[in-house]
This record gives sequence, C-alpha cells and structure tokens, in this order.
Amino acid sequence: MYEGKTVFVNGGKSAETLIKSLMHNGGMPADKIHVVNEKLAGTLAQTCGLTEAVKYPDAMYGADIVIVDASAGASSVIPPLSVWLKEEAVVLFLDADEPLEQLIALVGGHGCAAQAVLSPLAAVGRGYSGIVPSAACGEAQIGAVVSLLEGIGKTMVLEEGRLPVFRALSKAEPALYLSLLTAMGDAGVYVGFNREDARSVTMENMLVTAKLLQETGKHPLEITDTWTSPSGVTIEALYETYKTCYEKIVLEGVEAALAQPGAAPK
Amino acid sequence: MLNKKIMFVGGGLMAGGIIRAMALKQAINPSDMLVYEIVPERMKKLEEDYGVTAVGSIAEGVAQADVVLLALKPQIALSVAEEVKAHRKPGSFLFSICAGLTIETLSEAYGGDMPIVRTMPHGFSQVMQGVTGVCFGATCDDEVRQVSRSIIESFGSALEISEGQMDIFTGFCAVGALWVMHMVLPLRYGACEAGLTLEEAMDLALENLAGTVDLVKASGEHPRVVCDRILEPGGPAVRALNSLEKNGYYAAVVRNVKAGCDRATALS
Repeated sequence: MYEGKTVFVNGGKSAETLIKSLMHNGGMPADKIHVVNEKLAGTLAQTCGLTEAVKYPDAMYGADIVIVDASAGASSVIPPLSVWLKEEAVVLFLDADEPLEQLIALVGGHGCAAQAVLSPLAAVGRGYSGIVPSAACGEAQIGAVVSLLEGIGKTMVLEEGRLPVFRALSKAEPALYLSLLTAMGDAGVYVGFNREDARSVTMENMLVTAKLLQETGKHPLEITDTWTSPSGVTIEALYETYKTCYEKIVLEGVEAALAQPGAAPK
Repeated sequence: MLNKKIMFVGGGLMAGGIIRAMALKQAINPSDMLVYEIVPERMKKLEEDYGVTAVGSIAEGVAQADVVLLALKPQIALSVAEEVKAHRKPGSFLFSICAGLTIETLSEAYGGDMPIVRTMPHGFSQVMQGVTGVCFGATCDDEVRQVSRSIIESFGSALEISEGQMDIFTGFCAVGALWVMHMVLPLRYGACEAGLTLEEAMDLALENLAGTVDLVKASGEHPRVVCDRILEPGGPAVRALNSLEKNGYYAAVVRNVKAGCDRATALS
C-alpha cells in the first residue's frame, strides 16, 4: 500500500473512482487522502468517511503525489501548483487528452509529472492503469505512482505515444467481453438453458480461460488444439467460428475502438 | 476432507486432472484414491506424483471403494461393467465422466441397483476450475449427491441439470470456451498492430477478461447495464460495440452455439 501524502486538487469522475477504489480495494485509510475540492470532499465525506476539505497552500506542503483530474473539465481551475510543491513531488494527471507537456504548463511548469489512464474496472480493483511519466521523473517518482495505482489494479508504464492505444483498448475490451456475455446469455436461452445458468457458465468459462492462459503461458491456439477431437463438438464449433468470420468481427471492433473519433470507417 | 475411497477406473488425462485437483486441494487422503490404468507408466506416475494407491485389477479396487469413478472412453466403458458388478463393494455408486453414456445405458450395464451419477466435466485440470454438468439417477440418495458434489467441487463447480440438457451443456460449454479464446486472439493482434507488444496486449486482454467478470459479479446487474455504465460518448467502447452490431455479432454467437449443441446431440 502506498504510504506517501496524496492530495487530490479537483473533483471529477476519475478522482472519485480512484479514491473510492484506493480505500475499498487498496486498503488506504481515509486519513491518508487529502482533498482540496470542497464538492468532492463533501461527497466523499458522506460515502467514504473522509474528513473535510483541505485548503491551498497548506494542502500542498509535503505532498508526494498531487492528483489533477482532467475528466473534471475546463470548469475546474487549477492554480500554479509548482510554487508550493517540493521538487520531488509528482503531479499525476488522470484521464487527460492533452499532451503531458501542455498539462505540466497548466500547473505552473512542475516538471516531475505523469499521466494515467484508469481502467473502467478500477472500481472493483481490476484492470490496468496506463502510466506515462515525464522525463523529469526518476525511478522513485515512477515507483510511487505505480505503488499508488497498484491499489486499484495492475499498472503498465508506457511511452506517451502509446497511451492512446492503451486508452482505447482498456476502455473497449471490457465492453467487448460484456457483449460476449450478453450474446451467450441469449444463445443459452435459445438452446434450452435458463438465462442465469447460461450466464454463470459463460462467466466461469471466461475466468477459466484467463487463468489458463495466464498460468500456462501458452498461445491460445495451442490450448484450443488440445480441446478438439476428430469430428467432435469443439472442431464443429471452430468450423462455425471460421464460417461466421468471428475473429474478423471482433478485430473490426478493435479497429473501430482504435480509430480517431469521427474518422471515416475503413 | 472426503472420508471415502474412490476407485478410478482409468487414469488418463481427465482422471489425472481430477486426481491432481483432489490431491492438491487436500479434498481426500491421497491413498484413498485407488487407480487402475492399463498403461503401467501412467499409473506409476500418478502414484509417484500424488500418492494414490495403484491396484492390480479393477476387481481389487472396486471391492474396497465407495465410489467407482468411471473415466474410460465411452466405447470401452461398458466392457468393464461385468467385472465391476461382480466385485463392487455393497452401497458403492458409479460416478461417470464418460461422454455420451446415458444413465439408462450405464444402469443396464452396471445393474439397476447401483446408483449412477452422470457428469460432464467442462473444466481444465491445469487450473482446477470450470463447470461440471451433473445429473443423478433415480436411485441416488442425498449422500450420493453430497459426495458427488464434493468430488466435483475439488476441480470446479457443479451445475445440476436434467439429463436431457447434457448434450446442450456440452455444446454450449465447448462453443463458449472456444469463443472466449477466439476473442482474445484478435484483441491481441489488434493491439499489437496498434503498437503494444504481444505480451502487453495479452496481459491487458486477460486482466480485462477476468476483471469484467468481477465487475458483473460485483454489480449483480445485466451485462448490458454494466456496459452502458462504462460507455463514454464517442469513446472507444461505444465505437467497438457499434461495429459488432453492424457486423451481426450477436446473431453469429447464437448461430454458433446452436451448431455446437446440434453436433453434441448428433454425437450422443
């Protein structure tokens, strides 16, 4: 568990999710979290037992990680934090679309900064958070950010150029899996199961598949090869999979997720 | 811990997986698992790896066992029936993992007084997890049901279904597992094409896979409701979903499941 002083300066959906998940899944005690934004602090006081909002500039003194939630939008005014921060403090921008350089300028040029994209699964302590540290961040600062975000799942440190790809996939993949779960529920009912059984069997299949691939380290097709017997059910299912171009359908979904909004479809 | 002796008639891949799971989870005293396997090297390995008791014949094992776990290919599973019938311990029951053999067929071969439990494990022995479809013959009492569940729960979870649903269960699980695997593949290659390494792409895809299930379980809501909540206007998730819709994804899933179930029914 991260034990440094963590300050949230503004409030948005991402900050709220992060705080709740840090407390719920990461075991971070309420007194370790400081919130400047009064509205967010008020909400969290009711739901998470946080104490009242802290104020500038006292909140910034001794802060190790200062979190700015870009999802709060343009209405959220950030003062030039750099004048109050110690040199080794990291400013962490959540779910920002702007380049890191631009974000650093927004808080008065504090060079030790990072961007993070949170997973939509963060609420349950799962998924990857993608982290892009600035060049001024040393190992200690990167380690601190990683340690903080490991409280809400796994982390992947990336170069800035790859963050959009990470963002698109980490947002789209859960939606694609949920589509499979929805469709298998309907398919199960169609062939004669009740919906609850169809869904729970599918969820179990999903969990087992993930575990199997993680624990064996094998290629998916190495595993599916062991499931097929001559003229059996699985090879028939595989044949149908090829006939319906299943992978192509999913791949086009991935491509749509990776495309720029408003871009002409391929 | 299960205080019963189980005789494994057959020590192949499936039986080996169950033995491994029961031993590792300490669901039973390993020496209470008796094994007869026609390939001596395989039997010796099970004995060395998990401490099971290798027996010299089916007759020797079934004479001591409370449960006869039939793990043979369907075409030879009936050929050992006479030996089991002649030597089995009174009160023992048959726990079959043989695909396609109905309770009626097994009951005719093994004698009407032997309780029959028919199962269809759809687990993966390597990870000791998965769903097993189970149905019970008319003479199975509460104890038989309870012992059977304990065996199954050592390598996954049990889903009690009617025997008429057994083929559907086989087809549904086969297609479902395959489709999960074949969803991971394009996610992996799509991500790699866009700039993640294959390893990063795989880690992301698998964490998201397991995490999505956790999210649905935690919410207790319909997957579509959960999905709607994570969509952002114009964002990648909604673009991906719309692409699936346009390409007939849902109908394809239903069609494939139907084809898998038809195949399972035709083979039984």
